[in-house]
Amino acid sequence: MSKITDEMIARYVDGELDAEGVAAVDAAVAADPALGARIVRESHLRAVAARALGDVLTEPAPERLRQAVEAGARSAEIIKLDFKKPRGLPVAPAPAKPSRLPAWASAAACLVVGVLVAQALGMIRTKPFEAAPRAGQPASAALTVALDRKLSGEAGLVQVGLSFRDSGGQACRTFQIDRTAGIACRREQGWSVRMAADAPAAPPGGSGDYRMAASAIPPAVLEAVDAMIVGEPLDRPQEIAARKAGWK
Amino acid sequence: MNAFQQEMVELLPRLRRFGRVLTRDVSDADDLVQITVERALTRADQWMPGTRLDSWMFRIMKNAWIDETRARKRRDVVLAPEAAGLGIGDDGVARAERRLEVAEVERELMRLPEDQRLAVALVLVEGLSYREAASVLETPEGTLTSRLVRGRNAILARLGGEGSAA
Repeated sequence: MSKITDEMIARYVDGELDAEGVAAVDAAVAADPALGARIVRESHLRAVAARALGDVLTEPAPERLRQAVEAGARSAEIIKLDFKKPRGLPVAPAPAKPSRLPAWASAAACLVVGVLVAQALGMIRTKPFEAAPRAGQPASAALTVALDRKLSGEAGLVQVGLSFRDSGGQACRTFQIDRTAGIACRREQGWSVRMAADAPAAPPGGSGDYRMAASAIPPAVLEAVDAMIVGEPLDRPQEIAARKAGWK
Repeated sequence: MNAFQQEMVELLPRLRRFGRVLTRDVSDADDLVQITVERALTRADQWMPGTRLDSWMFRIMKNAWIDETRARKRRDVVLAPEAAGLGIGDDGVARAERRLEVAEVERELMRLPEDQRLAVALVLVEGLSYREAASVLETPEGTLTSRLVRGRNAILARLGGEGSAA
């Protein structure tokens, strides 16, 4: 055959060949009927392949997929997430009874102390925040203060849930403000909101029960944590150390 | 539902189709689509508005599938249902002349090794440009092109009769 390569034929048929190449192929086809036949076949393959698996395009997508788009996550999925197995409960307040809760709940157990202290101190009500945090945006000043200073489970209008590190080793924390919950991660220039979702209003003082504290984190946020977390959530001493280090 | 999610809903059929190419299994495909949707939503901030959402989500899906297959320790993927009601017999029809039917192309597509299968599916089935397909697969364009050519040649050889090296 001519010096027309397979790749040139593919590009010719797929509309990926430059003008010079197209001219070369056209010229070669004029002199080589076999090449012409080959190109017809290739074009035909392309046309047929475009209809391959076409049934799926016309059948309605399963409801669960539509719901996944709408919700971002389903609570049922959370249960089977089966976070990394609990290895040595961090700072458990008491030898824990075997729990059916996922491993991160053990970290949430650490929240109890903070929650109780906060309740004893009484919580501070401030006016609602100017705007709900949105994914991709830097954290607002109020959120920044909370993320910088608060330990998980402390009461207030901004509540911080779990702290963890992502695959880049950066500190990330779940938060809730009013009816928005999400995750923010520490970047060079400050906290950046990674995701945010609508959430039921959290009990402002937290509850005295870590199970409640854990379950207060909305499913969509937990899913996101699962997708991002490397290792275990930070326990209380780690959290204090991270805060001291400016969450770097 | 915001515009981003709306666009995602409209993409679901194509995500399901690409899922089938990846997993070669209808229900695995839908599970994979679900994982993909959830990942995409948690990373919505990484999507650049104005760029193609389909390519971006195909890439997420491809990576989710890599994770999944690793998790399964590369459990033997069931080969494409070769005989799945296609009824192609050696009936002496002149193979070289035979029209390439959709079902046959589908079957041969599914028999390709994964790298060729994805290249062929993205370009010929999904209609992406070489550049877009390469970005989905996170490979150089030259690699994409050679996989595409090999996959195509294999399909044509199997369907075409010449040499019939199947």
